[in-house]
This record gives sequence, structure tokens and C-alpha cells, in this order.
Amino acid sequence: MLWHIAWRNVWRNKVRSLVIASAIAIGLLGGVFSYAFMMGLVNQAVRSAIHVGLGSFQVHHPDYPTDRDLRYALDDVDALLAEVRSTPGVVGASSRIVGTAMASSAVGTAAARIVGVDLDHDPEISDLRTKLIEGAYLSADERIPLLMSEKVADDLEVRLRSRIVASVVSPTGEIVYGAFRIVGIFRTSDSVFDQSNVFVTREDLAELTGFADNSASELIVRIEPRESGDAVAAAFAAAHPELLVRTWRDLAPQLQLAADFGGVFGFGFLAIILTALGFGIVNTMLMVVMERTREIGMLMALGMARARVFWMLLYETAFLSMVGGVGGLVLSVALLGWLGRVGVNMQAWAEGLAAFGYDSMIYPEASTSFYLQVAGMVLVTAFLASIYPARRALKLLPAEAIRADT
Amino acid sequence: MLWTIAWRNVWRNRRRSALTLATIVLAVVLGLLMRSMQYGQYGAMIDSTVARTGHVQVFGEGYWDNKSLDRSIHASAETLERVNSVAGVADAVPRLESFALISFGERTKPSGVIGTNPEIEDRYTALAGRIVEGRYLEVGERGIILLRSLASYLGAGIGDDVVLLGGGYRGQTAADLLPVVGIFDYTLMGNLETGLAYVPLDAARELYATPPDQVTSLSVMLDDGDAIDRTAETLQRELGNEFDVMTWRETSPEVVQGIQSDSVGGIFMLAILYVVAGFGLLGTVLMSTMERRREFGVMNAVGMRKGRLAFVLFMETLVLVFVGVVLGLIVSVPIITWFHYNPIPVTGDLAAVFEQFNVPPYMPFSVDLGIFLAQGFVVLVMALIVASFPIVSIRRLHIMRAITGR
Repeated sequence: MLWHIAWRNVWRNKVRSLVIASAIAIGLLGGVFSYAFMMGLVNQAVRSAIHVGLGSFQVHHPDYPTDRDLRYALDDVDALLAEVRSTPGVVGASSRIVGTAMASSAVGTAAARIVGVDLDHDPEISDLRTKLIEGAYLSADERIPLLMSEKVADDLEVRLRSRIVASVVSPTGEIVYGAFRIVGIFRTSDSVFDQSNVFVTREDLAELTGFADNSASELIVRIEPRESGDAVAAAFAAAHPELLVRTWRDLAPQLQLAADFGGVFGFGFLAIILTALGFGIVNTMLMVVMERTREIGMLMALGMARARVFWMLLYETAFLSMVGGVGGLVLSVALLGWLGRVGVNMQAWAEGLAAFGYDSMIYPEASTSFYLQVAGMVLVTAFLASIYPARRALKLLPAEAIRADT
Repeated sequence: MLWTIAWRNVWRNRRRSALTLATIVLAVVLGLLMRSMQYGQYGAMIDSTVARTGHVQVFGEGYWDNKSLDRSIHASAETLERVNSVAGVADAVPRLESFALISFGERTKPSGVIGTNPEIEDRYTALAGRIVEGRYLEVGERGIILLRSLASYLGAGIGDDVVLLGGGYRGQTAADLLPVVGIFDYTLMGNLETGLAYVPLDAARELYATPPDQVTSLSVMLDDGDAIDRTAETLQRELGNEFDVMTWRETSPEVVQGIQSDSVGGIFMLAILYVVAGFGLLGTVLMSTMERRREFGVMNAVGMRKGRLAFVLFMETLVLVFVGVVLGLIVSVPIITWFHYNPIPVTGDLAAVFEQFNVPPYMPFSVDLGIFLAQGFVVLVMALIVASFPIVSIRRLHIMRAITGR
């Protein structure tokens, strides 16, 4: 009954109600889009970092990070791998040999990590195979195959099938030279990764450097779902205190920071927008109370309890905000549904984004729980904004209010 | 006279004006703080980039695409004189850089070896201040300073002779033995697999077996960072086609694009904030126009022309916005100025990320006048749009209906 009156009241001044409702709708649309865009950007970067380069966690010899040298190897890798693979949540694990190389072509030299991968298991932990823009992935059928990024290939002025010579520092400290043939060229969304890695087979690199069997420079482990990765890594680290275990968060602090702060920032922006909208709502409702002074006085004089007057105004504010809120959320769901499919093209800033490991095609992401949270924020704003005008209505004295001239 | 009426009208309904002002002040303050912070950050990023590359760089023809010593240039005293005589040029840092393997004992690491004039280098990159052990290079000496991680990898200390081996000028072998005089600390963005070392220019020429006066680049510092394009053109014309002149924007497109993409995000957020504030203002203006119809009717009836009436209303909105902007400035200017001179130090993970991009760990605020002008312009446009609405309703005003309230 009360809410029925309130709903009708909202539409007594259509223009005014629509102005404030449109403001709420547009503000929400903007805020929700900003949040979803940021989440899309960050999540894509995190996913691609985990799926292409870092894995959920990595295991090294404790001295490896300072020197990144072939001599710091993990022993008895097969046992470690078997142990990791039997852990629930682990969807893939593979070992790699990682050395530092100078790759030379006829015209130039580039320094990079040379990564020897296990052909059978590496695809479990790395999607590098899907990032090829030319040629094919490493295969046992090719002699001395190598993958390099488009960026390194351009620097060295080499093409597919070109031969390059890599000088690698062996575990004993000597420099050994090996020839490789480029069988594939890749490009990821992270230009730093692209610039600093070339990939060869484990067998070739082990043979070249005299690296021992059943040992490796690093283990990379992939865990699904992503959230359970830290727990599995922590359990593994506890079982192997002699090894260095680092998650993607430790390995890419800037991404971890973006993942942590991206959402907070998005919500902060929504809160700011809602504050500005709140001022507008207070203003509108104050106006409502003032122009209806006489009417409200009349209702009170006729015996309507103050509490009911208060609730009527509260309902009215809630309805007004809901019209805008529902409109804004419907628009947001539609817009984000569409953009989530076609993506937002940021091609113009591709290089700048790639330097930070971000993709140039962004697919905004927003979950149902996020929309519910936003709806909750709108309701709280509406409630807070209605208190002051409704209290003013309560303070009206019926006898005076009836005689008010507007 | 009309001004006075407008001014008084604004304050007839204090509460409403105050709430509208609050929205405008919120938008102005947030807008200014956000842009000032962004611009400050961009300034720091540009400064750290320019310190490394110079505002403008001079290379041999084609060097940028293929960084080979063979494309180095002869920077005779006369060439330097020609560069320095171009108006706006403050200084030129000559560098001769390439890659070499640096070995000590059994350990070897591929490293960038940069030949530079220690005195001029320090003026811009403050390299001397980064020395953590030993001392900085002296002009003309035969010595080398190593990046800390490189020195610790090699196990080389002050006074040890390290071996450098690599490709030199026109197919010659680069080989030399140099004593370590100092160790410096510097965060390299990107490729962490390689080392970095500096030697005086003449030592580098000896190492790479180039003719005297040879350099791979001249990093030109300008007096005025805004005159880059003009000076670059003059330099190119002055030096001729055997030289390639490139601005830092061309050599570091990732910095430019990183800034642009971030800036677009900021502008988008501000646009939403201003639309919300604009709607709040519009609501107020519409309400005050509607509730004063009778007053307008009477004024019109007693002889005030509609044009003047419309002007008063137009002025009311502008006055309101103007007061809002002034209040916004009063709030934000001291904050911005304070943080401009006392930048907020950044700690923890965020500091590590700043360090990674070689930006000092501070959040500087920019006091660039352009920020204030741009904000002022946006607010003015918003005010003009909103202020135009009541003009329409005044034109449609029907005296009799307005006075009788029908």
C-alpha cells in the first residue's frame, strides 16, 4: 500500500525522476565498464603469464635465481615430477633445462635464455604452441629445431629455416657452440618474454652442454583451478625445504599487484561515482519534500503516522534509485555481454601494453556476484541518501505545513 | 544589476545549492588530483627514459633496425661541434655499445658493454651515484665497471682483470683484458639474463677495434623538452642523410603508448564523473526553473523581457559552477602543491614494480598548468550545456498560465 503510493509519487514529476534515473544509469554503466575492463585486462595478463611462461609455480635449486646458471640443477627430477603429478589439482608438470645463450646470425647477436623443453610434457604447462605465427612447434622429427620470437628474429634478421649459432655456458663453465635451425616463430602478448627466450629440445641442449640425465634447471607446474595453486605450492615447499619454490605471484610481482589492486580500484571508482550520484539523489528528494510540504502536512493532519511518512519517502527514494540502477545494470549486462564476445581493440597502443605484458584485445569480464554487489551498493547509496530528506519531512509541523504557500 | 539578481538567486535555496556545489567540487577535486598524479607519473617515466636515451638520438643510417657496430658513425670533433651548435641542444652523450662475453675464472656471461664518456654520462644518468663498491670510471682510463649481479655471478671483485670477448668492427674479433674498478647497481627492465658493463669510450674503441672517434649513438639532451620535434628536424637537416635522427618517442614507443593507454583510461573515468556531476547540476537547474514558473510569469508581466530573464537564469548556473570550481581549486591546489614538493614515497611490492621500470619509488604530482586549463575547459563546456536548458523553458513560458499556476 505504502510502496504503491511511493511508486506513483516517483512518476508525478517525470522529467525530474528521469534526469536522476538517467544519471544513475549512466554512472553505473561507466563504473561497471571500467571495473570489467580492468578485470579483463589483468586476468588476461595473469592467465597468459601462467599459461605461457610461468606456470602456477616453479621449482629451482636455491642458488639458481642469483646466477641463473646451468650448474645449479635439480637432481632426481623424475621422482620429483612423479610426486608433483600425483598431487590433486596438478594438471601438468614438466622439467626444463635453462641456460644463458648468445644467439648469433650473420648480421647480429642477441642474448637470451635458451630453454630446453621436454617435448612430451611441456605442452601440459605451456601454451606456447598456440602462439606460433609461422612454422611449427618443436618436434623430434626435425634436426636441432629452435623456436624464437618474431622480435628476436627481426633483430637478428633471420627467417624460418634460417640457421643460427648459439653459444651457451655449460655446467662446467666452458662456452660451447651449437647450431640450430629455426622451425617456428612465436609472438605472445608480453614483449619482455618474447625478447628473452628461445626454445629448443631438452635432448639437444643436454647434448650440447653435457647436462646430466634425470636432472633439470627447473620444474614448472600447472594447477587448476588457479586459486588452489598457492596452497599446492606451499605444501610442496614444506615437503622440500631444500628446494626453492616460487609461485607466479613471486615471479611476476607487477602482475600480482595489478591483480590485487585492479578490483579494489574498480570498486573505489564505483564508490566515487555513487557518492556523486548520492548528492544528486539527496537533492532531488529534498526538492520533493519541499514542494510537497503542504501535502505532507495534510497527510499528517489526517492522521498518517510520522513513521509511515518516513517510510513512504524512503520507498520513493529506493524506487527512484532502482529505476536508474536496474536500467544501468541492464545496459551494463548488454554492453559487457557484447564486448565480452567481440573484445575492445586497443591495437593502437599494442607495444605499450605488451611492454607490461598486456594483450591489445581486451575482453571485459564481470561475474554475476559482481553485479549483485553493485546492486547492493546502489541500494545502500539510496538508503543513505534518503535519510536526510525523510528526516526533514518528519520535522514538519502539520499546522504550519498546511499553510505553506507552494 | 542582473549579476546581483543571479547571485542572490543562487543563495535563495542554500541547501540545494550547497549539495549541487558538493557534486561539482567532488568532480573537480577528484579530476584534478587524478590527472595531476597521472601527469606526475608520466613525467617521471619520461625523465627516466630521456636520461637513458636523450631527447633525441643520432645514429648511423639504419643502425636502429640493425644494431651492428658496422653501422656506427664517425663522431669527429667537427661533427660534435655541428650537433652542439644547433639551437636548443644542451649536450650530447657519445656512446659506443655492443655485446661481448665477459669472463672471470671459469664463469662467463653475455653482457652489454657500453663505452661512454664517464663525465657526460654521469651528468644525465647519475651513474656515479649508483656505484656500490670501488669507484666510478675516469675519463680515458682502461678499466671497467660491472653491474652488481654480473660481478657476483663472475665472482669478480675490485682489481680483478676480466676477459671480454665478442664480435668487433667489420668482422674483427673484440678481445680485451680490463681491470674492474667499480661495481654499480641498476635495475634492468626486461632481459635479466644478460649483464651490463661500462667502460670509457677509448677503451671501448680499443675493445671493438673501431677507428678513433667512432660511436654507435649520440644521445642529445635539449634545453627544452617540448622542442623535440623541431630540434630533431634541424639536426637531421644539419647532419645529412648518413645519419638517422630519432626522438625518444620513436625509440621508446612502448613508453609513449603505455602513457597514452593509461591516459585514455583516466580520461574515460573523468568523463563518466563529469557526466554524473552534469546530470546532478541539470537536475538542480530544472527544479529551480520549474518551481519558479510563477515568479518568472510575474516578472515577465511587470515588464522584464524574456531575454533578460533567460540571461539571469543562465548566469545563475554559471555562477554556481564558478563557485564550485573555485572551491574545488581551493581544496585541491594546496594538496597538489604539497605532494608536488613532497612526493608520496611508495613502498613494498609497488616500489619493486617502480624499480623494475627504473622510475624512482615516489608518486610525484604534476603542477602543469595544462591540467588545470583542461579541467577548466571541460567544466565550462558542461556548465554551458546545462545552463542552456532553462533558456528553452523561459522561451516557452506562457505568462497567464505561469501566474495562475496552471
